[in-house]
Amino acid sequence: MEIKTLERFNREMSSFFALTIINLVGAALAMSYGVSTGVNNLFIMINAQRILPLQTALLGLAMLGFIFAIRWQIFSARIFSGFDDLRDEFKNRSEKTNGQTMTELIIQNLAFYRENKPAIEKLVLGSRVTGAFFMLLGAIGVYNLLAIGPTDLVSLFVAALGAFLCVALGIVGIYSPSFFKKYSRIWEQRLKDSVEIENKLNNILEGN
Amino acid sequence: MKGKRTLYEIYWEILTFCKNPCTFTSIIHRCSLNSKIGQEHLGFLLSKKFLRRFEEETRVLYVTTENANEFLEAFKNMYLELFNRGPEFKL
Repeated sequence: MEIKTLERFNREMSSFFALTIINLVGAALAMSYGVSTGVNNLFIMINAQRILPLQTALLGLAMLGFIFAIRWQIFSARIFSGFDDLRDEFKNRSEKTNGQTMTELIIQNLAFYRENKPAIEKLVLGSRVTGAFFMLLGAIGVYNLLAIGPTDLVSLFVAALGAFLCVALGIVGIYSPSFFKKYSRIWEQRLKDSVEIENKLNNILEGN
Repeated sequence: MKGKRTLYEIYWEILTFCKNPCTFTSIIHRCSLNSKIGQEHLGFLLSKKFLRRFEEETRVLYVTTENANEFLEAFKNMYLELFNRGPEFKL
């Protein structure tokens, strides 16, 4: 029983850790790409010495994407930090596979979920909104590429890469919340079960 | 242990930690409790005779009694079952 629980813990913790890393990297890329897109479009307007509608729209979208990416990054970092502590604790204790250690780990994970539930919900929203912004930015980039078309091969490559990066960030942003929702669903059920357990434990306490 | 825990989880931690005799300070430190809340929990567990208080070389120590075994065992079994029962989280 304990070994089975330990293996399950190991798989669950590795999966959640990978998910938080993906989100941290995604949010960092989204932030940097938001800045670079904004600055590039600003320079185009500075060089042209007039306000260009497409560049203004792209600048605005990039800045909004950047703001949401910061939010995504903050919540990802908060969850990562708490979970990393939990993971260290797990590594230190996993050598001693006994019921007591496993129970302590379950309590720690339940406590982590209770404490980080609001942050996970905000992360889901932040990630999804950022993803939508980058999808839109990518769509505009692709449209721009097809409609106007860069003059040389290097510009074509850079524009195509930019559009691809936007779409990739958009997909990560939109898709990763479904994993957080899955994590929440599983731990929410465990929380509900723990409330049922409390009644049984109360009976034992009152029986004495 | 950090984070939001239920009353029963805190009781389990205290009782598990006190399997070896402990001082009040070490208990509240290990279980991340403040002094007032720690007093309340220890008071409750003493009243249920799950903990015993004794003095040794001018130190006041707390130790888990056999009365707590049923609670500790039931808690452990129910939490292990809770974790293993549902679907597993994986990417």
